[in-house]
Amino acid sequence: MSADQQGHHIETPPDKGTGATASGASNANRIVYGLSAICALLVVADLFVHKHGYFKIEHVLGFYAFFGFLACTVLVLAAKLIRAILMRPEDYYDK
Amino acid sequence: MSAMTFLNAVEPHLPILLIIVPLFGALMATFMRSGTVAWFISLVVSVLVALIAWKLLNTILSTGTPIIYKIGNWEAPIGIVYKVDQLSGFVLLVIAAIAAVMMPFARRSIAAEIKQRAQPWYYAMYLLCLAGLMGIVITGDAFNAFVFLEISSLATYVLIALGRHRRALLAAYQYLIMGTIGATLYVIGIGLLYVLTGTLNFDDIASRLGPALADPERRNAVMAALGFAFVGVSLKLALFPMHVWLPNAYTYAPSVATAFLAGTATKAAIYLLIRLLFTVFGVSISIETLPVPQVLIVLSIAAMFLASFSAVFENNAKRMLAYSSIAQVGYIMLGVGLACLPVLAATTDASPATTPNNGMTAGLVHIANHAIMKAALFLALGAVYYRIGSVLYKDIAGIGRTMPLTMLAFGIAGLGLMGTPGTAGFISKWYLALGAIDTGWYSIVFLIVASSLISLIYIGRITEVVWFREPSAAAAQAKEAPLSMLVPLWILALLTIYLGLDTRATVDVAAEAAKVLVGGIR
Amino acid sequence: MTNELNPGLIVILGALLVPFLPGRVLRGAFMLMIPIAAFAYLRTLPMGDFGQMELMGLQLQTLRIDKLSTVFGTIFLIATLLGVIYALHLGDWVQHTAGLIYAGSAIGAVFAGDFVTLFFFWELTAISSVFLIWASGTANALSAGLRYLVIQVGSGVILLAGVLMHYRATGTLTFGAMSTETLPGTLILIAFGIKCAFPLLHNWLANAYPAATVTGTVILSVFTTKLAVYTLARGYAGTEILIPIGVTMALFTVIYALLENDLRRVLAYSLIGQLGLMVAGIGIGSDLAINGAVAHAACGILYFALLFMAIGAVLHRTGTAHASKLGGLAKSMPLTATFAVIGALAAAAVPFFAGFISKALILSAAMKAGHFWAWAGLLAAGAAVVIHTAIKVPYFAFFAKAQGEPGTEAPANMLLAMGLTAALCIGLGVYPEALYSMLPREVKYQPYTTEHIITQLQLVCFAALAFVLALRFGLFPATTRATLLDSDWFYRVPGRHLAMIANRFRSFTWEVVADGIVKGASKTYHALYHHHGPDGLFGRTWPTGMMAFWTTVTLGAVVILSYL
Repeated sequence: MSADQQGHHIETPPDKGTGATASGASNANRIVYGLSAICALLVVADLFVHKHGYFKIEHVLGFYAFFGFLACTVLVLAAKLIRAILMRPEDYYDK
Repeated sequence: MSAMTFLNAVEPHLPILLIIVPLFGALMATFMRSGTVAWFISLVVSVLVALIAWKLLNTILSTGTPIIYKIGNWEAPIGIVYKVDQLSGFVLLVIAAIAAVMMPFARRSIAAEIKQRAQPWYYAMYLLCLAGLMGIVITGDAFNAFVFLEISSLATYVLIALGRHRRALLAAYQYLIMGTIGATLYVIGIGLLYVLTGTLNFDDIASRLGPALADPERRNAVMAALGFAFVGVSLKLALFPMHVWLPNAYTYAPSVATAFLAGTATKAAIYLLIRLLFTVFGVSISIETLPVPQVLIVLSIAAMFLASFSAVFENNAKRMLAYSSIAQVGYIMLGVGLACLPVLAATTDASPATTPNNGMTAGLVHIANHAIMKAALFLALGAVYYRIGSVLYKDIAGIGRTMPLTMLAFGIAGLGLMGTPGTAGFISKWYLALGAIDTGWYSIVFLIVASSLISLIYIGRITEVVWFREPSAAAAQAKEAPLSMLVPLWILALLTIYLGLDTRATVDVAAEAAKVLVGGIR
Repeated sequence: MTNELNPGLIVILGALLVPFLPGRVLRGAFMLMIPIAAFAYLRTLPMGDFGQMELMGLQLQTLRIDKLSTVFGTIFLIATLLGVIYALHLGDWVQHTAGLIYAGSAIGAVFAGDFVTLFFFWELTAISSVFLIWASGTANALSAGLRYLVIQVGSGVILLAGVLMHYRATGTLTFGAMSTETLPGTLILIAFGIKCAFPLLHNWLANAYPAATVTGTVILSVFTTKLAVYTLARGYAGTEILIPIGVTMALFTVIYALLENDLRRVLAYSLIGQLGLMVAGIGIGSDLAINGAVAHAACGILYFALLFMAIGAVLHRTGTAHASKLGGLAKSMPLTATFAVIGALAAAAVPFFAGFISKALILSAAMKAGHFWAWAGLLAAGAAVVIHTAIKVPYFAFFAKAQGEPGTEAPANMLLAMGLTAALCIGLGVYPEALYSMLPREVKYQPYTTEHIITQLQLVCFAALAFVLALRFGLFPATTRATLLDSDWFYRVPGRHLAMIANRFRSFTWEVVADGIVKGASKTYHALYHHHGPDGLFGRTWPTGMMAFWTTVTLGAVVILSYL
C-alpha cells in the first residue's frame, strides 16, 4: 500500500531475492525455455508450409516470427522511452 | 337548451371575457379571508380563462380570419379594439394553459410559503397579473398594451415581494425600477408614433407609417420611436444585457410565482415585441434594413452564452434556472431576429409567402416549449422547497433518492431544456438551426449547437447533485411531494415529451402564425 | 403495424418498467427477459424498410432491417443479455435502468433508417450512459462523467448540424453512403469519429470507462464505439482517409496500454487499438474488409466484455484494478482467472478463439488490396496486443507476485456471465461460420489454413517471447500509479484556466466592464450618479443603477445604428 503510493516499480527482478523468489525465478526460467522451444518448433514448421501471401516479404522464412518479435521489442522500448515524456504524478489534473 | 343559448350569446364577447373574468376574480379574491377560498376562485378563473383562450384559438384556426372585438362598439381609431389572430391566439393559450395547469400546485405551496393573512392577496395579485398578460396579448391598441403591461408588472412586483426571503423586497424594488424604466421607454416610443400617425391602433399605425417614412425628417422620428419601443419591451422580456433584474426576481419570489412568471410574463413581452416589429413597423419598412435584426441576433447569442455560463457556476437551483431562462429567451429572440433577415433563395424551394419562416416558427414554438419546460422545472423546485425549505445545491444533494418522482420530472424537463431529441426542446432547436441555415448564417448553427452544450453542463451538474451526491441531512428526511404537486408537474413533464414527438399542436400553429406574420410583410 | 417497432424501443420500454418492479428476483427475471424478447421479435422481422412516420413534416424511416443492421443488432442483444447477467447482483435500479436504456438506444440507432432517428438514439446513448459513470460516486467519476457527457453530446450536436445541412442540400434524410467531399459529409464523419475514438478525439474513452462502475464499464465497452463502427461501415465504407486513421489508432494506443497501471485503462486503450483495426478495414472498403470490420466488432465486443468482466470482478472483490496492487489472484479466484485467460487468448487472436477468425479477414483484405504499410502497421499492433492485453492484464492480476490482499471468487452471476461469454469466444473461434453467415457482404473466407495457423502462432509466440525476455532483463517499462498525458491535456489544463477566467468573468464582469466603460466613455454618468445620491446609497443601489445604465447603452446603440 505505502510502497505503492511512493510509486515503486512492481516487477521483481528475478535474479535477486530470497528462497521464495528463487523458486519463482526458476519457474520463470522454465517459462522462458519452454516458450523458446515452442517458438523454435514454429519456425521449423514454417519450412513445411506453402505460402500464398501477396507480399514478397511474407515468403521469407520465419517472417511472422521475426516480425512479431521485432515489432514488440521496438514498441516496448519505445514505450519505455516515451514514458519519461508522458508520465506525470497521479494527481496531476487535480492540482 | 338554455345553456346553449347562453353560450351562443356569450361567444361574441369571449375576447373581453378573457380580461374581465380574471379581473373580477382578482376583486373577489381580495375580499376573501381564507387562502383556500381565494385559491379556489383562482383555480376556477384560470381554468375558465384557459378554456376561453382555447376556444378563441380554435375559432381562428378554423376560420383563418382574425377576431376583432370593438369595446363599446366604438370603431377602431377612436375606440379600443381587441384583436385575436393566429399569433395572439397561440400566445394567449400558452399563457392561460400554463397558468391553469399550475393552479393545483399552488395551494399547498402558497400555504407553506406565504403568511396566512397575505394568501388571498397573493391570489388576487396573481389573477391581476394574468388579466394584464392576457390584455397585452389580446389588445390591438398600443396604449392599451402599455396599460396592461403596467397592470401585470405592478402585480408582479407584489408577487415577488411576497417571497419569504428578506431579499425578495430588494428584488421586487429593483424590478420595479427597471420595469418602470422599460414601460417609460415603451410609452415614449408609442407617444412618438401617436404624434406621427395620429392613432394608437396597431393596424392603423402600420398603414399610416408609410407616408411618415417618405419624409426624411419624420423618418428619424419613426426610427427613434422604434428604438424606444424596442428597448422598452426588451427590458421587460429580459433581453441581454437588460436582464439583470431577472435572476433576483425569480430567485426570491414564492416558488409558484416564479414558475408562473418564468412561464408566462416574459412570453407576453416577447409577443409584444414581435407584434411591434412585424405587424406595426414591418409592414412599411423592410426590417432587414434596420439595425434591429443585427442587434437582436448579437444580443441573443450573447445571452445564450453568457447567461448559460452564469448558470453553470450557480449554486442555487432557482437562480440557475433563472439564468437559463435568460439564455432561453435568447433562443426565442434569435429566432425572431433570424425571421427579420431575408431567406436565401437557394436554400428553400418555395417562396417565403407560402412556406412558414423557420426562424419565426422556432421562436414561436419555443415560446410554448420553454414555457412548459421552465414551468415544470420551477414547479419541481417548488416541490423540493415545500419539503426541505431550500433549493441550494448543498441542501438538495441526493434528493433524487427521496423524491424520485419529482426529480424524474425535473430530469425530463431538463432534457427538454438541453434540446435532447424526443423532447420539445429539440423541436425548437431544429427549427432555429434551419432558420439560421435559411438565412445563410451557418456560423449561427454552430453557436446554437455550442450553447446547447453549455446547457448540458448546468443540467448535468444539477442532475449529478440530486442523484449521485450523498444525501444532505434535509434531503435524507424528505418525503415525496404530495399528489397535488406531482400531477401538475408530471403533466408538464409529459407534455415536454409529447410535444417532442407530436408537433401538430405547437409547430403547425406556430408555422401558421409565422406564415401570416413574416409572409404578410414580404 | 406489429413489425414496425424498432427492437431498441422494446429494450428501452422494458428498461422504463424496471424501477417499478419490486424485489431483486422479479426485477432480475424481468431484465433477463428484455433482451430475449427483443431478440425473438427481431427474428420475426423480414428484411426491408419499416416504421415510416412523419415528424415535423419530415419523412422518417425508423426501422431498417438489412444484413448490416441485423448482425450488429444481434450481437448487441447478446451483449445486453450478458451485461444484465453480470449485473444481477446489484440492487441499484438507477444503474439497471440506465444500462438498459443505453443498450436499447444503441440497438435502436443500429436499426434507424434515417438521420433523425439515428440522432435521437445517438443522443440517448450519451445521456443514459453517463449514469453508469456517475453511479460509481467517486469525485473522479463525477468530473469524468461530465466531460464524457459533453464530448458525447457534442458528437451528437455536430451530427445534427451536419444532418441539417445535408438535408437542406439534398432534401433527403435517409442514412446511406456519404461523401467526405462536402461539408455535411465531413461534419457527420467527425461526429462518428468522436464516438469511434479517432486519434485526438479518443481520450473520453480512456477517461470514462475506468471511472465507471464495475458493471457499467462492461456495458460501456460494448455499445458506444461499436455503434460508431456500424455507422462508419454504413456511411463511409471505402473512405481512404480512414485507413491511416485506423492504423494510427492501432499503433499509438500500444504505448499507452503498455505503460498504464490501471488495468481497466489498459483495456480501454487496447479497445481503441482494436477499433483502429475496424476503422482501417472500413477504409479499405472491399467486401472482405467490410466483413472483417463487422466480424471484428462482434468478436471484439465479446472478448473485451469478457476481459472487462474479469477485471471488474477483481475490482469488485479487491477494491482495486491497479496492476501495482494486484497479483496472485489465480489461487483465490481460479474461475475468473480462467475466463480472463480465455478472453486474453481471444484478444491475442490465437487460432480457435474469437479474435483469430475476425482479425484475419481485415489483414487479408489489407493484403489483397495492396496496402502494404497499413498491413504492416496492423500486424505490428496485433503482435503488441499479445503483450499489453493478452499477457499483461491476466499476468498482473492473477499470476504475478501478489502485491495486495487475496480476493474471493466472484459472485455466481458474474461467473455465469463470464462463462457464457467465454463459451461464445471459443464457440465463434471453433465454428466461425456462425458469424460469417451473418456478415453483410457475400464473400467466402476460410480462416483455418495451415499456413495461417502457423504464421499467426509464430506472431503470438514470438511476441510472448519478447515480453518474457523484456521482463527477464528489466526492459519492460515499469507500470506505476501515474497520470499519462494524453490529448485531454489540451482541454483539461488550459480548459481549467479558461473556466477560472470565466468564473472570474462571471463575478466581476459587471464591475470590470462597467468600470471600464463608465470611467472611460461615460464620465457624465458617474458625475450624475454621484450628484444624485450619497455614497452609502450608491453602494446599495449600484446594481439597479447599473441595469439602467445598460438599458441606456442599448437604447443608444439601437438609435445610433438606426441613423447610420
